[in-house]
Amino acid sequence: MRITVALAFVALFAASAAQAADRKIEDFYGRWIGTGQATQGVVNPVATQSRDSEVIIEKAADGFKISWTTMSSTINDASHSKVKASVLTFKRGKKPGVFVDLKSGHAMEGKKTTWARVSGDMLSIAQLVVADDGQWDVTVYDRTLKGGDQMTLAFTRITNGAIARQASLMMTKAKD
Amino acid sequence: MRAVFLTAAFVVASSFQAFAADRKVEDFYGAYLGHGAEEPTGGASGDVEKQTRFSQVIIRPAAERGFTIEWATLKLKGDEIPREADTKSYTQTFRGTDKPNLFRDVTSGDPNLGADTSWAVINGDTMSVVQVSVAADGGYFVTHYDRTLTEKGMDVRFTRFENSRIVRAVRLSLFKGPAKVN
Repeated sequence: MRITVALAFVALFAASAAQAADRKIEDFYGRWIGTGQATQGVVNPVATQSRDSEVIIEKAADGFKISWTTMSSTINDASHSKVKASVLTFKRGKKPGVFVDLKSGHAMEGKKTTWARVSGDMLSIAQLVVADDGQWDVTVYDRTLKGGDQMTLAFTRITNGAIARQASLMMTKAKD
Repeated sequence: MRAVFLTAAFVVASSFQAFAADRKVEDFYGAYLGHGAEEPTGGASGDVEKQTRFSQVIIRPAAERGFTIEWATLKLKGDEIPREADTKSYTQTFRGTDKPNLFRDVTSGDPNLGADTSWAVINGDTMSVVQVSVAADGGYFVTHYDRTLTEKGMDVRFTRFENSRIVRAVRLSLFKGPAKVN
């Protein structure tokens, strides 16, 4: 009986440890395509934009490269659309699962501070920008794997102490 | 006629400029005392019992065109007597920069190297104090205090972000006391 209880504890512990383990960055590699909405307001969010996005995450020398293109359209008025493309390349940081943008600099000296981390199923990329007049914003892209072929994207922009914009997209991994 | 028009335009422009001008840090010197409460954050923590907070803020001059800010907060839940753990006090010292309204915490470092980064900026009647802290595991938090001068003292808006979520939002209304700090 005692052995059975002990084995049950071991199995429970092993399952819990497996569940808590962080994904590897390689699990996020691929071309992801998806759609969603951007909102303003935290307590009572209002949808302001529809967003279509393509994200490519791939290996780079000592880390990974992420390229994404997003088309944002005003809700109910697709004639007001804009397309934005961005690329960031990260190298491994000192701790497992932590990465630093190759161009990351000191935010208080006019540079952008950009880092990434893998925590559980989530790849989180955060960027701090402090303008020379002290105004600041932090943009965060949280990409969470849902199984092998799906990923959610939660985007948050915090500006001068308030959440200025949030967006939520569901993305699917392209087969090619 | 043109002269009158130009004079009127000048007066309007001057008064607008005066209205929009940033306060000097000296305007914030003083001891302030008051209370407020947590606000809903939109997340799960927004459902927690509303806490009353009493707070004291002292702002005084420091070297290098800077200032020191000390603040203490006492949390109260209902009629319970507060425990030691419910009181917190902090001190930060800032020095001036080449911008008249921008100040940098004397201990502020490079967030890439795991150091806390903190600065203060004055816009209009509001002094904002921001601190960004990135942990070795990539997790981060940001605290943002807006302290706005009012007729009777100061309004405080505090927001704490952890990994892109607002985990705490507090508003306080403080009265300025008679104490001389400089």
